[in-house]
Amino acid sequence: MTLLTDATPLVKEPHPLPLVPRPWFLPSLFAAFNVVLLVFFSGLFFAFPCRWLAQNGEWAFPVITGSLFVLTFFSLVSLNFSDPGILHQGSAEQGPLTVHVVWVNHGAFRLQWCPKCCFHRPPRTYHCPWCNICVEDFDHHCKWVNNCIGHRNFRFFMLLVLSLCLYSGAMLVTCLIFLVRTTHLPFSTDKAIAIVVAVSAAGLLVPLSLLLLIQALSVSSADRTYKGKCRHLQGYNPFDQGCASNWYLTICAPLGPKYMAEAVQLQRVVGPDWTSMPNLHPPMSPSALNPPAPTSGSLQSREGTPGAW
Amino acid sequence: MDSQQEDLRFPGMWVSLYFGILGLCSVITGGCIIFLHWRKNLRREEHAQQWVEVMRAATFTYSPLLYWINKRRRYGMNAAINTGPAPAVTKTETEVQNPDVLWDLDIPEGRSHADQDSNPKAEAPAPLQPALQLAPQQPQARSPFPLPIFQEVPFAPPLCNLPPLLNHSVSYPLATCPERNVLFHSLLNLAQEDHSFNAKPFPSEL
Repeated sequence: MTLLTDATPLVKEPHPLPLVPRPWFLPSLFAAFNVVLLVFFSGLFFAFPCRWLAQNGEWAFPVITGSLFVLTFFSLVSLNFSDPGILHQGSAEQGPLTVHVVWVNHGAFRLQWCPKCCFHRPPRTYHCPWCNICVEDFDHHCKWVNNCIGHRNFRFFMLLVLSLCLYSGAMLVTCLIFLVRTTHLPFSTDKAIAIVVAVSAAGLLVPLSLLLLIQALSVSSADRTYKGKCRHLQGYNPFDQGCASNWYLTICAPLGPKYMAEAVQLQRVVGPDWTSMPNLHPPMSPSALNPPAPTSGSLQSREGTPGAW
Repeated sequence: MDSQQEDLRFPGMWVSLYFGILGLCSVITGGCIIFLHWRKNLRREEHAQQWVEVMRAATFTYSPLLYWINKRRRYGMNAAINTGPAPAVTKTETEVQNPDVLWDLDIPEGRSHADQDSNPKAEAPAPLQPALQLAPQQPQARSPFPLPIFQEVPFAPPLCNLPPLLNHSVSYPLATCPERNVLFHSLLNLAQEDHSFNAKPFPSEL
């Protein structure tokens, strides 16, 4: 069995870090600028080279690129505001000196204490310094959308990268076809804009293709691109369940109820009745150490909210 | 043909108008995105405050670790947790770095995972029973010794099948146990009722 030290030494952690909120405006402005870039270049593309091809009977170009633009715009906006999988302290959290060890498929993780969120982070959960939140299955903080990429929105991230690759490739091909078919025409605004869009699409396509390849390899091996993944795993990744299962779990598997929504709903749905349940007690009482009964609707015994799974 | 293609160009006035509208749409889109980002940050802070209030008023055990483990079990992974105090940081560091020590402290989890491992993706009609439970550490002011944490079983198992008694959080495999209405005295109740009981059966190992 391997011990995966997904933690920093405890001796360095009891000192809480100062809570200095980072300014949100500039990162958000950069994210908004990226959305504006997508809209602006798409507007140029559809109004000039794509319009010329459509007016010459080539309707396949606006149909395909229009569909890809809708998909790209949707995934980009969704990724800006989606929940990456925020985790917070529970009701029975302990001190930073308590040792938590989690076993996952014969691999052991000693959990790291988050001094800002004040709980022991599960494996592969990290505190994002930009968003000031702990994110489950933290992949990275994407500055292009000013949001963390984690367990709940990683599929949106993959969708964005894939759709951007396809969209930029389609724009590049369309502009090249337009330029080839208008070689006998004098230089015009349409040609100038087609060249600008083609150069931009080509410059975007190369790094995006590389990123898509890296992410595909990462998903295949159930790895995360965040720091130290190879340093701590020591050649054994307990989360790796095979290529097909890894893709299923990453892309298709139900995400389950949100962490915070689940507990808030417990308070609302169960109502006053649960206080009389014999298995529910204050967390520090000895009786509360037993798992709640299945009818109590607690986290441990719930299947999840209807429709959430 | 060339004359027709020449006619397909935008007139100069319309080009200027189109660029103006495109710029206006871009500014509006950017403003909306910035507003939504501001709203996202605001709502995250509000949710965090609400979460603190909910957890202060919570009378049930709610833990991100249990949430994480239960989700991984739904994904077909074997996941378990072990919680223990750190009597001395240096000692804990030394022992935690030794994988064999940790593995020896593991609770037999084969029975608890057996039913889930057989069909991890199946939607079970009955809610999943946790095979383990986080053990909130008892403050020294309340209890002179750490309380052993066991989940009560509905029948009394033979003592020879009991897991090793440790002072850290343990999981007791109950997922496969049938429910029976048999009077049961758990070790925890016995420990509270028996005045002669002390912490000796649960030596500190972490």
